[in-house]
Amino acid sequence: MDILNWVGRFHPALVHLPIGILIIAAVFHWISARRPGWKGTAVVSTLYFFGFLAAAVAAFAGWMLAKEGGYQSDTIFWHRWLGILMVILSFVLWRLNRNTSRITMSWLGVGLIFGLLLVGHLGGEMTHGENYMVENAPNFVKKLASYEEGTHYPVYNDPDSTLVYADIIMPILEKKCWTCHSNNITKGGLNMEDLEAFLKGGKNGKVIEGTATSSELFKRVTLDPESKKFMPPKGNALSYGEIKLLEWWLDSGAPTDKSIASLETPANIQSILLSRYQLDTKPKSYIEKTKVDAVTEETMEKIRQHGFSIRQIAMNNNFVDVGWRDVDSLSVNNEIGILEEIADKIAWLDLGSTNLDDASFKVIGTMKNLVRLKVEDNPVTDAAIKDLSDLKHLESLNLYKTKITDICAADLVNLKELKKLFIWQTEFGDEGSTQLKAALPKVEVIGGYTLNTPPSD
Amino acid sequence: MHMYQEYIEKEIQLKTRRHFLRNCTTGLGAVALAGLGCQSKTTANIFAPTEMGGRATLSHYMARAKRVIYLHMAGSPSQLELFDYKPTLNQLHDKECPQSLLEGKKFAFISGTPKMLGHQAQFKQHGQSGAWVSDHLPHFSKVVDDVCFLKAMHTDEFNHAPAQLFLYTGSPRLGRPSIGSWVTYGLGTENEDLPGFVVLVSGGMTPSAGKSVWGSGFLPSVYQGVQCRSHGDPVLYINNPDGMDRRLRGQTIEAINQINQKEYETFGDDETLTRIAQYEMAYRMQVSVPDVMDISKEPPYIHDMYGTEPGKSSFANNCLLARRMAEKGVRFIQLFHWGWDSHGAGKSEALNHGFLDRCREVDQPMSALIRDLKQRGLLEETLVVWSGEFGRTPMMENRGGVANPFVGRDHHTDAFTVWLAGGGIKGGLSYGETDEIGYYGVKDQVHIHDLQATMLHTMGLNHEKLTFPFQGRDFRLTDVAGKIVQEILV
Repeated sequence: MDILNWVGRFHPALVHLPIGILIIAAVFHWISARRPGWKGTAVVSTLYFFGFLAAAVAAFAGWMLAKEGGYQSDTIFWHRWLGILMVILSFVLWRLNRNTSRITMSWLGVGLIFGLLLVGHLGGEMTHGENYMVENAPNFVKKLASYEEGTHYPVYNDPDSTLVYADIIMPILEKKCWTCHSNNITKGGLNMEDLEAFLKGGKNGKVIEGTATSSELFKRVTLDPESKKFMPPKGNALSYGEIKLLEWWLDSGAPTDKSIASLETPANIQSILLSRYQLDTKPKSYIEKTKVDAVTEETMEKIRQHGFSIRQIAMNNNFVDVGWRDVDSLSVNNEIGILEEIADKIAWLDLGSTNLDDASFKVIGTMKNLVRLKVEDNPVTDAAIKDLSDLKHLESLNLYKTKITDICAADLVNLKELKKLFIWQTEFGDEGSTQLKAALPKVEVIGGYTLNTPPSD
Repeated sequence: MHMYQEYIEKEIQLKTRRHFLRNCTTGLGAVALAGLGCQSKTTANIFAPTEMGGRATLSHYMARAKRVIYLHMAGSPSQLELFDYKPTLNQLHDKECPQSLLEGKKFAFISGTPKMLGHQAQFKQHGQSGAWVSDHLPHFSKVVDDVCFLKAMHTDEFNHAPAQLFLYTGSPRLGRPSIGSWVTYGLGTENEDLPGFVVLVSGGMTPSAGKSVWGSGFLPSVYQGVQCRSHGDPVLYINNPDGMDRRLRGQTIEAINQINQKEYETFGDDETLTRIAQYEMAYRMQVSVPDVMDISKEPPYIHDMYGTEPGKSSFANNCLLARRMAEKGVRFIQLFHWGWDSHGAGKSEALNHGFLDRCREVDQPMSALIRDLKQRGLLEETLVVWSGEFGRTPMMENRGGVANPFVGRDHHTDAFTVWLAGGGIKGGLSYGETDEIGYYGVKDQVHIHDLQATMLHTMGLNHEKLTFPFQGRDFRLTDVAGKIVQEILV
């Protein structure tokens, strides 16, 4: 019945009356117990009577309000029956005031006070949300309540292991929606904490359907904030970043178990993920994606004995960076064979200015994961380039001050990933560049500069 | 292994029962102090001389840059005469500055109500990226497509010395290690024969903050910057005196080091190891330094490109030296060029006189440096950074409320421009914006700590993990702040 629903809405206004009256009654009761003959003793019974009356009316309204639904059954159960118990207790205290032993009366009074506090708190939790009393409390109170503030975004390192729903979307919903749509409170029949219930929707049906714009969930948070249907009705609205993330998630089909890496991330989402969570979704380079076994310290030491410098690229990356230490008694061309042992683990090789000869390129050609190769300032000819054809991941090749000519362009076109080629002080000219760029348009051929070279070349 | 754990383990290995007993006899106070971490533990044993050269420690993640060349314009050039073009400022030229911009602000010299000062330069867009550069930098305007501008930099300090300390050590007060020391501490050096951290100064003066901006603070002193002079002997007393040949010098140093080694075995003071390492390094430098510092071997076209004159002390010579050191694998090359403090109180510090000379001194060499690194394939693994220690006001300076004899601007912390190029940085990008008059950053602001974090990041170092225990806590360059500017990274 509508009229009873309307009466129910008076519950939050009415409940304060019995709480106030009954507390005064209990206080008067306590004073009169300690000071016999006190004037106030006369009104204790009357106060309990009015308290009982107000409590009964409030409880009735509360019962009606509960009928509307939307409250979590656990809390409402305790709130309802504790409320009823308060009505009964105040009735008992009114009726038995004169004829029962003082001690029983005192205990009943104490029980009433604690009951009122508890029932009031439960009611408050249902209207304002669980953390209402802690959110703005001093830090020691927060600690006591083991309440953690949601102001700092977590830092995620790896898009592969970061889940779009559990790590990104759910915390937003938790902060902005769960106050009213959780396991405890299900306003509009919608529980967003329980995933199954969330997907099922509220009493008006599904909230997630199709894309963002066709989903009630997205519509409600992007309405005119003045609108009655705007969500959340209280507190801070969703921020721009939160709305964009929500939109992106819904448009991706609202997956609940997928990782960030498995979804497509448009540029604006990439920058939001980066600035909020430090989550880098930019595509990774080849050596960051590829895993190899570590080179043992023993092997490294052996390679160092042969005149090379060797160093693991990073703590989290087993590829190595190899160079030449320029030991007087050793020649790189005699020693390079030792590198075959770790050929597929070398990502960067720097053998510039080492008198490297063409024959050594047989070994370099086996380093299949090589990304950066520096062989500048060496008597290297076109013949050497032929041996590099298998380096499918080579991105940067430094041939400056070598004896290469346009002829090697025919072999360079095999380096499909090549992005930078350095050819200053070589016979590699326009002809070679043209041939190379025709096959690999991405390649930047970097030659020499003079004082007056114009800006873009 | 984590560097700190390694440090602790090595330290424990060196401590014997005798050390403990001896400490007990000198009183429990010493033990208590030791517990508080107050011992003068300036040198960590992990960097014993044998491990110092070739062996480098591990990066936290893949490095985009192997080394840094930092070009510091000491005194702080005006961003409003070089990069930050604001047409509105020209319209407001000579009008009184509104009070709202002055309230609650502290300036080094401005007092009362200053007047706004329009650009003392003509601006044009350059390159494919359309970067704004003034006509004071004609050469630099040709390399803008390799450069990333941070237009909304800001700092905490408005006086030179503290601002320089803040920029290099992360703190405006003395005592912290400089960024070059942190980097060489974290990564070691690539060349056993040269110091990992070299400093070159031009312009006639060392920066206001003195040598502390390349000091090692509480890090082991092997990591402090080594200043090389670009005029005369690059390092003082590096040549053997008359009558002493290299063999004899070598034997002398060997004997001294043997004595020092015994000293170390007896007393276990880590600074002795540093001393041994430094003697060995000095001996190697006797050969390597004159070689790397001799720019007369460079071909004429290189001298034309940089505008260098061998034998002179100049920023141009230092830029060329920087490239030569980069080729040799020096980890951190720090240049300072003095004389940018354009207040307008005198001719040499006027925006229309001294400032223009400074522009001419740096324009060609710094542009040549970028191009020379690029043509050699070094730019992709070398991070080049250019900055002052802060910016300059859009207002004309009126020292003591009276107009200065020349045109100048006061120190300004809230907005200035820094540019970076090379290793791991997106070229042709302008990041951040200031308001219509270049007074405050309004978009994508970058703080000094953010710049430091980003620089370390390009070197493969995590600014939150690169720490050193001192006085009972772990210190780091960025203290408790710093956010990596991911948007400018490749």
